[in-house]
Amino acid sequence: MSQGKYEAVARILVAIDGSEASNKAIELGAEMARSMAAQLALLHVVEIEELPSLIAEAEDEGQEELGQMILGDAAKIANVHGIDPIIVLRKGHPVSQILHYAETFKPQLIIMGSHGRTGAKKALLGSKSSAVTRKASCSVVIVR
Amino acid sequence: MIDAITLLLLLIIALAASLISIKVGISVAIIEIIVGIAVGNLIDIRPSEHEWLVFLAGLGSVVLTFLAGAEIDPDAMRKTWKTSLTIGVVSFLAPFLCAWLFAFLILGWAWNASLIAGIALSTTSVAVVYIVLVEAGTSKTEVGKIILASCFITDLGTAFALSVLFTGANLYLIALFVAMAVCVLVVPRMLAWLLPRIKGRSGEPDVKAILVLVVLLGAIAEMSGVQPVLPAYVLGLIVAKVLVGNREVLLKVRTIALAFLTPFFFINAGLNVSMVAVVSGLVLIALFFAVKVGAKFVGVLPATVRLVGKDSIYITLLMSTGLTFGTISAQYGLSSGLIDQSQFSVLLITVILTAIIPTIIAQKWYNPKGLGEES
Repeated sequence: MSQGKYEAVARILVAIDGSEASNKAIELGAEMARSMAAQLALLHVVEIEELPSLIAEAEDEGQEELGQMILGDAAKIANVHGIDPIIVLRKGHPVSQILHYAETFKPQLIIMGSHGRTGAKKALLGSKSSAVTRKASCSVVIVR
Repeated sequence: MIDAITLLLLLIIALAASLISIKVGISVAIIEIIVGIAVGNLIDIRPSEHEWLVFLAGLGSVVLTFLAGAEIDPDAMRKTWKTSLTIGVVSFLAPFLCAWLFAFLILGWAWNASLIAGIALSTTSVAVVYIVLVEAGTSKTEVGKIILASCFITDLGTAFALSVLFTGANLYLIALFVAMAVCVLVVPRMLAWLLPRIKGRSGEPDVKAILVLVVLLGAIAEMSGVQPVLPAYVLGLIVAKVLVGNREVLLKVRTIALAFLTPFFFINAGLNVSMVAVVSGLVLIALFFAVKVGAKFVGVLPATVRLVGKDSIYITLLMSTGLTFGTISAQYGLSSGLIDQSQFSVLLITVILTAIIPTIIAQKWYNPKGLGEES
């Protein structure tokens, strides 16, 4: 295959959750963004409960603050690699929010950390990274 | 001793429901109801044999209603009130009338049982709607504010119907409406003056002040034979703005309610469900579901097409959801002897389904492509 078939990587989206795998994803994303002179966006999604009885039940302010901290720490990792990333915090279902943001940011690459769920847990809860991989319109890299 | 064991069991259920809720990302209220149904049908726990449980569940429903009222955004309501009032009233009346007449004329339910069916299925879940709007990124748009304000109006209709339809005129009823009118005029100013002076002090006088007001109106309501959800909801609405400026007070009341009162309410509701009645009433559940959602479409869809002009099916589906007020209404019907356990089981399962199915359809097929909320 010729190189012309591939679109140049101008935008990279890293979806983060504060885990160790997610930190590795940021490092990879920042390194790639630097070497390819691409724009890097760091996205964290604050999960909210479906079907609550009160708005307050789902509006967890603590989680939002935690999300801001995760993004702040992630930005520092990217800064170490010489990249000044776009920081995005969203609320909702992680998979749909990642895909939703990807529609507007239009990255050529999405990078995510893997939680490494196995067995029954994986069967019951599914995997966010595999759902994004299935549904995204660009390439997705899962970092372990 | 038996009561201590029952209390322990219910607290374990409440804790387990919270942990499951965190894991699966679904409301703790629904998990509490479901676990309550499972436990109630496996172990012979009869809520009516534990007075303290019935009391805590009742208090939980009143404080829950107060908190639901306090979640309104008064400024958004003021800006959109004309449109919201129309959609909200239609959203209450259409399913109320249809479900009531369906239960009375077609199913042959008793008059009061039919009214409970109408009220329980008239509701809209503000919280479910809010979350869907946040996920769609439309909660802060004009359409989002109209939808939310309309939901509050609908639930106000539900609370009003639940409180006045089963009460004859009496002097205490007049006293209740006078007390509510006084509250509207006095309480916001009183709390705006009082709360900054007492909040954070030892002995938690700020929380006690809120609870005194909730229980004061509840006590007058009880004397007049009125279900106390209307005064609790109205109180929540009128103190919402003051509590925005005193968030720590609201958070403390919430903590007490969500940790120790509402779990008893939702678990109690689940314990009262008979799986035998649910299985034998599956067709009835499907029919009630169709009547509620159908009536919402007949009533709300034309109003949203005319007044909002876009995303009408999405809005109508969201307005078809129901959870908290539907559960409160059905539970009131059961505890007052207006409906029996079979009717309660059918209504509660229908209410839960109306929280789930319209939400999924709205999100999957009619979700407006708005921008997400970023910071």
